[in-house]
Amino acid sequence: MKKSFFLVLVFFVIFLVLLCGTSFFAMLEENCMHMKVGIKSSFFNWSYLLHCAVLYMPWCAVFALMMLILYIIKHKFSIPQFAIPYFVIALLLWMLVIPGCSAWYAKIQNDIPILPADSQNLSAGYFRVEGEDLTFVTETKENDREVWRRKVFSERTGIESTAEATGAETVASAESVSTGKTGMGISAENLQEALADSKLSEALAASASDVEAPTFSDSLIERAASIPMWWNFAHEKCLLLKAACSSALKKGYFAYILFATMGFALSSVIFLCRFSSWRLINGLIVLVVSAVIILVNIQFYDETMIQWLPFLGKSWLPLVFNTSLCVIFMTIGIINWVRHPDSNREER
Amino acid sequence: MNGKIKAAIIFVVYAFLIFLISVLCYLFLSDSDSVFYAIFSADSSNVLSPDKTAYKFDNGILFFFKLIPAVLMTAEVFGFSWFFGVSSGGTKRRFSNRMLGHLKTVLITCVSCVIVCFVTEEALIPSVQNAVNLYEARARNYWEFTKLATEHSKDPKDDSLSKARFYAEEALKLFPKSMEERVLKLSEKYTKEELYSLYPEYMRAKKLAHDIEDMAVKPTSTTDVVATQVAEDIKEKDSYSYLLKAEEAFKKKDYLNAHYYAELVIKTTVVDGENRLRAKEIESLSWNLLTSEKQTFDENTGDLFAQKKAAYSALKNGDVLKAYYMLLKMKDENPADPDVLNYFDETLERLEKQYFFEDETDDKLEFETANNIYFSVTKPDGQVDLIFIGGISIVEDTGQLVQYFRNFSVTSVSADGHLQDYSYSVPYAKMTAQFASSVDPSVNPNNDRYIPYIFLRGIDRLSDNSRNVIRPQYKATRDEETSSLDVVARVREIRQLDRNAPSFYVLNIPFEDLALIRQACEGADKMPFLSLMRFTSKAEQYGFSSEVYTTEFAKRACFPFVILAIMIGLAILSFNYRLLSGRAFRFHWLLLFPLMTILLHFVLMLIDYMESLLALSLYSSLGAWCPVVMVAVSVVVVLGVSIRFLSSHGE
Repeated sequence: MKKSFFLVLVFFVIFLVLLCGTSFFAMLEENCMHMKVGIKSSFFNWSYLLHCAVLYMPWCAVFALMMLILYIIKHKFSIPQFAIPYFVIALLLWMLVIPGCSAWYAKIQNDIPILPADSQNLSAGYFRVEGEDLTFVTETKENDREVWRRKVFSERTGIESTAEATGAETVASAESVSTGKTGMGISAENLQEALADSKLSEALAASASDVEAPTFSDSLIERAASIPMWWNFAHEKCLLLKAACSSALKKGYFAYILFATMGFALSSVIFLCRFSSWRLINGLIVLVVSAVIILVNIQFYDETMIQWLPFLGKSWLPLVFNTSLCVIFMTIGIINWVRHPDSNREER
Repeated sequence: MNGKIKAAIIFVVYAFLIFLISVLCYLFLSDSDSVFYAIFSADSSNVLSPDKTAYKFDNGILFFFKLIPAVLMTAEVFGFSWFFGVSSGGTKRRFSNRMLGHLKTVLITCVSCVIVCFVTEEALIPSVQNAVNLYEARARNYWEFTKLATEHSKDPKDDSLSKARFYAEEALKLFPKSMEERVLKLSEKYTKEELYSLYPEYMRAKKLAHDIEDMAVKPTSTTDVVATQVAEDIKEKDSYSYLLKAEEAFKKKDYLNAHYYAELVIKTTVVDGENRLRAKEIESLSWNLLTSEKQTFDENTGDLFAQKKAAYSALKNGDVLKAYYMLLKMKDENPADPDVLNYFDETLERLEKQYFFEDETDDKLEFETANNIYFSVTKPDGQVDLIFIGGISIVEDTGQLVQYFRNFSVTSVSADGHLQDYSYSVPYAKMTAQFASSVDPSVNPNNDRYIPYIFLRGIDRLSDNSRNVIRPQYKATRDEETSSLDVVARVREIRQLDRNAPSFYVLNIPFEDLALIRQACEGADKMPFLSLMRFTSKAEQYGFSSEVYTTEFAKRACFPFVILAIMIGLAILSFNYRLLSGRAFRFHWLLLFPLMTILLHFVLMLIDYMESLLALSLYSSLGAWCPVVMVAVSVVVVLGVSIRFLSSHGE
């Protein structure tokens, strides 16, 4: 009993640490997105911090639950000791915290808004590489801006005809990369077209503008930030999942349950915590399987994937997929428990 | 011990497999039509077809190098997790002696891993990256040259054909396989036969130019014994002997030589002594006599004398170019005349202070060290010059003191921030490093330094040929819509500017900064560590952002500590999740290695991003102290993680 309560405490500690860390770095990211070189900006920005804390709270809770599994793997707990608090937390999380946070965020979004990054009015006196051009902004006495522009990074010309064709493509893709909206992302128009006959259409299309990853105002800062290549992809997918969640909530109880089956699949990963006799392997498996579940669930709401594989758009698919995963993990867990009842104990 | 060796072998094999897979993936899956393009992005259409395989291979190696920290950490996590299990965990107490022993092992392993990572990051990755950049730059230049060649070949003007051929040849050097039919295609004006007949002629002319250059250099070379002897003789003689010579010549009414030697005396003496005053007297007297004197000379040498006189007065009047071509002709006709040789040497010396020879740039294009260099320079009056250089070729055996700039252009921004209407550019410019005091007399010679001095005009070595002259050309900065009248006015204005175009450009910056700028243009992440350290304080004055370079510097300085902290953190993880003693190691567990590597690689990228965000934000409040604070924080983190490791305990 004491151990069970301790586990709940551990969950809260992990959750708080994660939340503080995430919102701190999210605040820094927002700072940097609005930053322009040569102009001082403040380190702490409470409105960004609060906004990001509410925005990332559900994610932090989900990850804290994942960390809790790792904690359970490390320490000795009997099955009822960890199973009862774990499932209570999971249930509360997916049935109360996430819908609550979603509603809270909808409220706070207007109170503490984050302005979009402003890529006009860049600071004067610096060279910037914009696509194929090199630019230099100067500020005149009258506070006007003049831009020196020079086409520098020239593309190939028609000497090699094949090269020319692919060259145009590369240049095009290079440009789109520089704006941070890669082919993997969804532009608002495409989404609206694609969604015209889909079930999720209304709510998703309305929030299409939220689905794009935000961009930096200054390309120099963007280059200096060394953004990981998967970052924009991950960011967009997270936003997509958030949009899917809030649209499901708007539609009513049943729609949300369909969405929340992802949570059941994620929570049932705990059955894998005695999978192998090496705890390191168990931890690794828990992390990887959770990542796979989230990735697959994103595909159910990703319109570009649905265009490829139309059956993904069916509304019952998340239910079937996640429930079958639940059942499989549960079976594995029970078999493991029967075969090695105390595989986590050090032999002396 | 046996187990340790086995473990080591397993990890070496694993690292090799990763290397093999990354190279193979790049070789076969990296084209833009591949599904894996998002991961293995080496678009071989960026490079010329002979370079394609090498380009992909190098990109594969680069990918592997970037994976090295993650691979090492995978090895560390699995290795320690197994090792701590075998050596049976720890005691129940915190800070036990056993953990201290473990920490020693962990620190030795981690520090050696950090050294490997650091060397990879600072030495191996840049060198491979250089090779990759070189392939890309070659391709870019090739496309640019072929474009220029095509444009020029379509141009009806007469001299554009030779330019077309020039660019076509440069392109050919970069990509020899694309061979002659391309050159033939380029200029439709020539038939095949004509071109083939022209080509050897062109090459002969080129060779001739080199031969003559050799001749011009020879008098100072040590191989020519006679010339060295003469040179040594001259060294020995002091200004007084020149004065004697001048007086003797003056008595003989050889005013040309009298003036010449008198001037030498003036040049070699600094103090206004008796000799110097006398020399000045002779100089002015003989000059007056020279210019006023009617032509009184004997039949034999008369024509030559007149020519000499004309050349000499051209030289005195500052028209070095005219004097050079006249003397060149004379030298051809009278190779033995000492006067001609004397004057020719002096003219050449003066000429090289104002111009460079166009043929010097001939074979420099292939060896461009850097492309697309840009920076800004603020002048004392507040005017800002934006400088762009298409490519830099460095003559290495001069200690980088001589460099050739392709496509050098200067755009000025007035002190009140307005872009000036016209900017000039020159297809080639020669940069030499000169002492600041020699350019600007107000500089104190005690704190003298080298500054870049750029020659903007190139001339033909052999003949007064306007076709081969390199000179700055102006063009409008903006393409605004203008009426036809304005266009005429603008063309007239540009012509006027062209006529008065400058013949040199003094970059008033320390010479070493030029190399820093060259590296800075390739991006902060590709700059060598030491250059980066020196550049952070200077970035702002050359139009670069000090945020960007300081952030990168802070990150690079923190890199070893951050990796060390992560590795000790992973050691804690592997202690906590160790293989419990008595459990057998299963071989199929090895299959999970790649998952761990991928996971760690992603985490490392995320940490790198977080570090940059932190550094960027810290810079706005701490400024130049940001790297120091970041390093201090990471050292504290390392200590904290080590203490946390010591406090781990078994069950």
